[in-house]
Amino acid sequence: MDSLKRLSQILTVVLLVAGGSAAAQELTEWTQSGGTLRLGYPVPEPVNTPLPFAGFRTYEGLHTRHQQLALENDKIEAVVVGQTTGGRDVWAYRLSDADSNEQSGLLEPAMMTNGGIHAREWQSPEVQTGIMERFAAHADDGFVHQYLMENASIIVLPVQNVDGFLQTQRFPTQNYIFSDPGETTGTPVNQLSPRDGRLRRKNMLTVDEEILTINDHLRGVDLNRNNPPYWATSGSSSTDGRSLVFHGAGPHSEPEGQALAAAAQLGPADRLRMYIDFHSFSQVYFSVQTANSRRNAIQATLLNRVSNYLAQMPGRKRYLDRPGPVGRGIGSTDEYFAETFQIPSWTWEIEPSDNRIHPDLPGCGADYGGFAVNCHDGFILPESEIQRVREGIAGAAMVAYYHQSGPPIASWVRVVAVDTGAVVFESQWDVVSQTQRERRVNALRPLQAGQDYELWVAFNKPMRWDQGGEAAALPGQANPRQLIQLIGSDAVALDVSFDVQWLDAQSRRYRYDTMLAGFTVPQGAAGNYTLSLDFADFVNLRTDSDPATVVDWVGGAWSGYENQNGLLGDAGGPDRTVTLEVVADDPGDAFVVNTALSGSFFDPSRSGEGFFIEVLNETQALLFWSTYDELGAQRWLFGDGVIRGNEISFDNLAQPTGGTFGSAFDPGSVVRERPGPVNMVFVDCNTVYMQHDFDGRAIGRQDLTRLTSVKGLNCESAISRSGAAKGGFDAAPSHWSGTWYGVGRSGEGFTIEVLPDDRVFVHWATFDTNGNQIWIFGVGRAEGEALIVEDAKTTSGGRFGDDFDPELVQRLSWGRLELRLNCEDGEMLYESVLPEFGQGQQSLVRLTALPGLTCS
Amino acid sequence: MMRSSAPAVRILSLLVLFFGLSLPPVGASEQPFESLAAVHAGVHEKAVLDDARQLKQAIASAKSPAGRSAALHSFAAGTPSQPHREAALFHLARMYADTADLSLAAENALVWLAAYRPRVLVPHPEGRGRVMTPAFPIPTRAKGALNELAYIRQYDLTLTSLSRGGGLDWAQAYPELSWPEKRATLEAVANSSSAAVHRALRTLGTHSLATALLAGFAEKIGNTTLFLEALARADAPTRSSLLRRVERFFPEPEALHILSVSLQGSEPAVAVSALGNMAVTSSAAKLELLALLGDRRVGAAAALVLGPIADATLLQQIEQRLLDSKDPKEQTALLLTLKHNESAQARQILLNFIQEPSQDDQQSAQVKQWIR
Repeated sequence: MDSLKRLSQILTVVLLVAGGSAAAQELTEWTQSGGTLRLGYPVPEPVNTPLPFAGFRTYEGLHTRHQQLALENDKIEAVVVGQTTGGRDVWAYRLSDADSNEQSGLLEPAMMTNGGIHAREWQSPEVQTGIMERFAAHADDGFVHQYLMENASIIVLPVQNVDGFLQTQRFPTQNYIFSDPGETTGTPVNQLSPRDGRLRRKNMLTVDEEILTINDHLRGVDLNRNNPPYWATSGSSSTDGRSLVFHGAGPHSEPEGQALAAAAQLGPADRLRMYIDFHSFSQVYFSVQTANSRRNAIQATLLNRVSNYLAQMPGRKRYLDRPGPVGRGIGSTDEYFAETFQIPSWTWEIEPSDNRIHPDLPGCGADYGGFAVNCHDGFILPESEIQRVREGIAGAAMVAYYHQSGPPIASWVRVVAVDTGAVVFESQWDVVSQTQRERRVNALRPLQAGQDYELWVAFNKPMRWDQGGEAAALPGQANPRQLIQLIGSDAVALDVSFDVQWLDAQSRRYRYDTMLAGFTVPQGAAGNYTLSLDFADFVNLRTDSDPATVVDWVGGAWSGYENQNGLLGDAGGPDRTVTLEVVADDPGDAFVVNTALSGSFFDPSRSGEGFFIEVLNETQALLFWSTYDELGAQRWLFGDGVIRGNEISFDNLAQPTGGTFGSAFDPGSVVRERPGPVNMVFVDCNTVYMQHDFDGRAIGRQDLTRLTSVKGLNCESAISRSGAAKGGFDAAPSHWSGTWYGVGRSGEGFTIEVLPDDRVFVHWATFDTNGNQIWIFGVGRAEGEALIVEDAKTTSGGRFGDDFDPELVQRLSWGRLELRLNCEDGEMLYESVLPEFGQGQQSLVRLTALPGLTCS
Repeated sequence: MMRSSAPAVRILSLLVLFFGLSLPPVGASEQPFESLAAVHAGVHEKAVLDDARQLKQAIASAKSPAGRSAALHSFAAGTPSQPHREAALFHLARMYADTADLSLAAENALVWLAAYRPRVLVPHPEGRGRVMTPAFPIPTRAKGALNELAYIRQYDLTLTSLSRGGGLDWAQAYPELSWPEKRATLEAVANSSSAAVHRALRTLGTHSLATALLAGFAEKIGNTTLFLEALARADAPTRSSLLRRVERFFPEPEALHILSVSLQGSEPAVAVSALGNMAVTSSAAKLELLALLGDRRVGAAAALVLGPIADATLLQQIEQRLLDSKDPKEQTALLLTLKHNESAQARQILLNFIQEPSQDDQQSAQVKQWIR
């Protein structure tokens, strides 16, 4: 055929090797010439770019991409974990926030993926890079990726066999043909195999980078046969250095294997819960089974769920799990991780399929209309497919990470009365050790039969998938369990309907980690009822029935994971740890925040810091919180909050930085950092449950009590903890109370409270001359038109959070303050005893006024 | 003719009905071996080849599809050694493909072979000895050969109709073609004469042409406008594929123009890389890359290709930009440019960078690893 001749475009180089028939083989789309491997589709050639596109990237392109993502994202850390045989760096990347703790304070689990161990399997480094790209793009999504990066340590080693990978890319259209010593050579039924160039598999031990040198093309170590504990125990590896599966001189004899083990330490290794080694091809999981049947069962479930997801992605590829035998192996990396750490661990063979495993699919390159001449084309995915493969499997890996991040707990439960908006019940689990939680319960009021309530439940992970902005089941998974019941002492559930909705904007920490359900307590109900929360996350892991014992991965299975009968296992069950009291009659008026509530509050166990709350109107309040940072420096935060019932939520609390004391202050340099929300639930006028949920920290909680109330405001009759008149002071105008700030000094300010006994409390949140936040406070008095604080103080020695020790707080004299305040403006004079502050003055303007304290 | 290779089983069933073939027998027991070598030890190569040739002859001699499948059935049933039988059937499939046999007999036989379920099993090399797979992937080879037959037929059809200037139905039918047929069509366009393509374009017009075909025509006749039109219409894989060939089909000014236009599109990766290739000799391309370092989308890509060819003057400019830039993405691109430049000057700039106290610790730690 003329056409056949015209298509023979490729120059074929045939080499004659003494005593053998080695040859350089060209890869072509199609030709009838000898010495070629015709694919039936364009031969992929790598493009030198870091950007993801519909094709394969060079190693330098991939590496540049990894480095770029790490430079641009503080949740991706790049680490050299070793060198290759050829002396090139092996890089690993840790996808996680800077600390090693979950948001709850527990140690993060770690999960690891490896790529590019077999040089010719170009799909693998692309998929690994796809994982990194996916997490970089969604690091702050407020959803699953952010959850994983903040609560797990994900290690990606994109290219383990760097030398070999580079060799395959040097010769993207050429193979060196030869046969293993164990193969039957030269027969029509068993062709010679491509062993160097594009289809090199092994590392480059004693191999040069030329394709046409004839004495080294069979050499190299199969890095996936070089691992303990099954090193050299199987016929699937060989002692012959020329074999495709040569296992090397000893377990982890190769530096690439040592680099892999070093990468695991980034987890750290003892926190590992999963390992995947990405290969191609066959469209199958070759999972490892150990003697631990629970581990094996969890792994099978995990793989089934990942597979179900992937089957719903573009291409609709179904991956099959083919677990290996217990107690035997071939020296692969997945066996090393499975046996050493007793974690789910498998070889993930990326598509195309292998007809031998998928009888209903063509197999190899024929999956894409290719010619499948000898199935080596299965290693050569068409460029048209790699983008879909990269993105699809990166998504599936995310599902696996999510699964192994652990079962959910119902970490927070709240019941709110619909009529008043008041919180009537709240329960939350606090981590007290790596194995234990304690439950904090605030049962403010009983529920009343016949009344409407809202049930809020937050979990420690996103519980539903986001399908186009709607909470949904993960593609390929059954609808996750969600059943809420109120069960009486007679074990009978009340006839109550809970209308569940998953929250986005109002979620606790991550989208869809919180549900809200409206319900009505039936008439006639009375007594104590168990709240049964029977939920599963979006990979259908059920809740831990007993959050008091922390779930972890120990000895190859979940630990501390109870079912509803309190039995440990891997299935979980409903959370029935909350009991709600229901009464038939009206328990009386609920407390709600009112406009006279303003004043100062503190935690009696934490004398030396405080909260200044101003209720501005029926829906809005302002908070100044004077506290410390983790190192003991003063720290202050402020922001406005929203009032609902007996609760004030300060969701946008700011911590200004960038200011400085005195005339050098530049409001344009002040940056308002947002460390996280503060929430306050008022039991009554004087008692507050406060909690803060700051980035990178466990939820903090304090019980506050009133320190001061404000002259002219009476939250309830006879409030005055500090208000016993001492007499002898000039009457201070109540309208001084409020927040003030210096003209041109937005970003710092004064809180002033005129107390019922005419003393005046002044709190000045500002910066020192080095730009550090400081706060200065004191109790003064009115002298004529002036407000004088003779001995304003500052403090040192406090600590944020649990490290606070009131004994270590020192109150230091700062100096004298004198304020002269009109209705809307005024001035402040200061004279510090500390030389760096000196003396000076500021013109002031009012920021807030308190309701009812009018200035005329 | 195959129209799609994805739902292979359904298509094979249709082919079986169409040809009046009967399917291979099912029910023979599986025969596991411990290795491929063990299988081959029981196979006499010459006998396999002889049987395969004789079987091919018998199939060719048969008058009907039923007769051809009967020959195959007969061989399968009459060969007591399963390894021998499957080795011969596998070789038969290879023979059809290797000789590009376009006969109906070959197609009938390949359809039969594609439905064959191999019984001689060996351990999958990565399956830890537990996953048994056929020693002879007869169905895959047969399906691949059917793809190849479809490819060759479509290639000849396209090439012939283009050279004769008529019968252009294949162009309208392009979107419905199977994968191998589409690829063969494009290959035939590439191998036909420019005059033939001009003639076909006049007949077909460009409006209704499939994107890949339009691009193939544009490449063949070096028409930038048509090529850009195809690029604008193409999906991501097609666009990437087209851009990679720009330098081959268009002279530098046109290629630069196409690449510059493509940089604004949604798939700039290949365009930047191609600019990098051109920048080795083209100062215009080099300048464009230098400007692209500040592009938030493609700055890192420009860095990768510009870094190795940046000279001392350019490195000085980069150093200054690194000092001045407030954009973290541009800083990243500048750092990566220096990383890919192996000169002492680049290394010194990086050293200066990490010694700057105001630098982010994590970023400095990363850069430090580049130059240790």
